[in-house]
Amino acid sequence: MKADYIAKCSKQSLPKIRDFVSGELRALKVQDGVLHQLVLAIDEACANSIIHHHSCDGTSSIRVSVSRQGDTLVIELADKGNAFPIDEYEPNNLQDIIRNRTKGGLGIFLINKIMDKVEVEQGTAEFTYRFTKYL
Amino acid sequence: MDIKEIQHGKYSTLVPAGELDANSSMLMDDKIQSQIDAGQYNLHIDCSAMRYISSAGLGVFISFMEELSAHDGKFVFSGMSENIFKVFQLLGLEQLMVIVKTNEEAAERFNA
Repeated sequence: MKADYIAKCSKQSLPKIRDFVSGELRALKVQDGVLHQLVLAIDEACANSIIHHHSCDGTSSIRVSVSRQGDTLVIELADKGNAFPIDEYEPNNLQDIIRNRTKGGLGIFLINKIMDKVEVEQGTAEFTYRFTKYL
Repeated sequence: MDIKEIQHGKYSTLVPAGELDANSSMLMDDKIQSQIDAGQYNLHIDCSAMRYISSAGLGVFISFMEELSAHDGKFVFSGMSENIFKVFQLLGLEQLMVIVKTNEEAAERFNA
């Protein structure tokens, strides 16, 4: 069973996406501590897409889905265009971020810390980020 | 997100209520900048009403750390939920920032 949510590409969609994902994870009996981190990981991915890929253009949209098979939980983010290679991206060192006083660079670091597997599937006109967590 | 400000003399307390994410982080950025503009470099962040923090929220605190430190100031965080503390831990920030349990302990860190 896979549940989908289509969100407009505006920052105001982020709380709604978090509510959808946490509701689905709760229904799938995911424990609170893990649930909170999974919601954070997908929030980071969606914020990156909405802000950097779509420049907060509310006329475009992304699709988030959540599914569980046994102990394997999969959260997907489907989007149009070309994917940012988050599975290959090496985030800045935390000390560099502090020294340079930058506000970005932490989201993908968190995604890779939280998820057990991060995959990017590029199609001709759209792509999917697939995040897997073994519970 | 709503952020209450309380002045104590030696330090100021900011009380963010709600979710500190990519949508609300600019508000926190503005509040911290206003404190700095007013010459206050000792900032207590009371997290007891904060339900969520993302990298955008963390990034705001990280971006001001060196500036506070350069003026002999610092952030002291209190009242964090376990879930929010774990986010700080994921980045190793609990090693770099002062995190205490209560507002009284936070006050001691500035009055010492």
